Amino acid sequence: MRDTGLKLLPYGDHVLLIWWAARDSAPDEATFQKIDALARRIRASRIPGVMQVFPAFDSLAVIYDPVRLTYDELAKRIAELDGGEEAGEAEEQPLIEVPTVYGGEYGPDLPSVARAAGLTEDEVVRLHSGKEYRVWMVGFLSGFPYAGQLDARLVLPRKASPSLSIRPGSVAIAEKMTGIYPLASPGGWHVIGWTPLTIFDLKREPPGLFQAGYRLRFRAIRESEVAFYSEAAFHREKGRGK
Amino acid sequence: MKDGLRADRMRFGSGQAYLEVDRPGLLTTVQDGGRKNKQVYGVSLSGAMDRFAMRVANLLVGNPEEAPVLEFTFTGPTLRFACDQVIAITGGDFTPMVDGRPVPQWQSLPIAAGSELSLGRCRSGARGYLAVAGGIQVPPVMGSASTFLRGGYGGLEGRPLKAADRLPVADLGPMLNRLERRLARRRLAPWMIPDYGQLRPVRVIPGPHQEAFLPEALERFWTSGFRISPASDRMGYRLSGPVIKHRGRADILSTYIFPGAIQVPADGQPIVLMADCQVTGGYTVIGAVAGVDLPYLAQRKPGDVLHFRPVSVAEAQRLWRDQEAFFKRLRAAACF
Repeated sequence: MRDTGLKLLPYGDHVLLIWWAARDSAPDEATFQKIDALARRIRASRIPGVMQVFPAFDSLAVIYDPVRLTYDELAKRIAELDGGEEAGEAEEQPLIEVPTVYGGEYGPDLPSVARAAGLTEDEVVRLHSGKEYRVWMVGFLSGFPYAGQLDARLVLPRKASPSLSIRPGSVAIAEKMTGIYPLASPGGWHVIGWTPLTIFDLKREPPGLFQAGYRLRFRAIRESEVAFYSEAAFHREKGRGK
Repeated sequence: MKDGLRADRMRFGSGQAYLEVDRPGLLTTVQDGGRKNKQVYGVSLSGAMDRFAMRVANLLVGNPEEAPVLEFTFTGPTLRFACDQVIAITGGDFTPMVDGRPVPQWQSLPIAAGSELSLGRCRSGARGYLAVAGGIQVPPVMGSASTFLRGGYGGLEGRPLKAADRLPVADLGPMLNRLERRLARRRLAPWMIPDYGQLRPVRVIPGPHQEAFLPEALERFWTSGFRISPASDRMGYRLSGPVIKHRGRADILSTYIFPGAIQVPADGQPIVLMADCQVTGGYTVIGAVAGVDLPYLAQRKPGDVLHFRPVSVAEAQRLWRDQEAFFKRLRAAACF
């Protein structure tokens, strides 16, 4: 193994967990890049019996079929891969642009975020929409993208008391991350905007817009532009981006 | 499956092939093999809690093993059949009766149009399964008929059955006689039927976060009894027992979790994740239940005490392969 921080562990009888011993308990892009590279290398190698590769902040879960592959066989294959050639650059991962209406009724926590950060609301919007993020993990509720990393000036702890109901499409921040609520739910993140994109749709294949490793960028739009961003418009954008 | 029913050979849309719910039971849902390969999108697996019982029920009526069935909990439903059918009931002992006469479980049964099937309170185990030839016909959501209650999707409108619901089933029509003859003597040999009343330790593969616990806490985990609390459901079983102490923090960066994983939050009281669990979790995981023991766990009730026994990953995988070989033999047997 070249990466000395890497640990392969059995996780039950059908999951192999690769765990990067993170130095601190906060996720970061540097660790995630290693995870994403190995995830793509495992997927590309098409090891028979490997069913899903699930990246998270400091771990990679490889879900496999014990009828076709033992833990030891899989661990050996992965160790060989890690010593192999470099995976492609992160730029090959899809980039999804998320049109976002910031503030007002769409982002009720924008004023309090600006106050806590000692910035104006416009500065918060500029910082949030001014950089590209990476999806570090998809979880919590169906299709919730945990993306990072946020500009250090916007880093805030979660809210002391969670909001009881956050509408689907809400764009929110917490700690070093930004995310989008796919379904109505309670939540402790600071909601600063809203996107008309459908983040998760049961009838769509695939149902979720994001997978771990994808890149995303928020773009500030006006309320009057919301109607334009139908699903169809989104897919046209995505097609052009390829 | 070579003797599986082909949906395209069955008649649909007659509106005459359905089960009507007289009494829904405590918690009755449509379940199948679950939403495999959708976890990367954050979708819970769901599916039958006791997959062994679901698979056998389906094989007994000539279905693919993971076809949609009804899963009932603690108290079963009462159902009226609008059409002739072939059914099988597996899982815990729910003292099934057809028109007031007791009928056996773990074997295929012809049932006539107009008959009433009633399932009582479970006398052993916790969950029962009803398979009907051709499967329960509900529209799949993300490739599966399983009901995911927390998300409100799958099965019948994403909810448990209620009185007066009509569940569409295959209209077997002219195939029925042939099917009945072929399935007539299909039953699981008595020695193959799981004994849910038997108390035995649950086999667990240790890790991956063993190092997060004090050695005496690990010792305590493997040697103590843990009671299943009333706050247990298809998402997970909360256990109460001696406190399992961490060396430091109980929280980790969120990682993939799955049914069978045993989380230990800061209060030191383990939670065994079950079929409807989320796909990520931020608590340390002390071990994960061997796949072959999940059906046993699915048949335990709140108040029951669990003991855990460590098993190597190699041993758990050998048991898994043995079980798959068992199903292969069942599938191959024309009549069992």
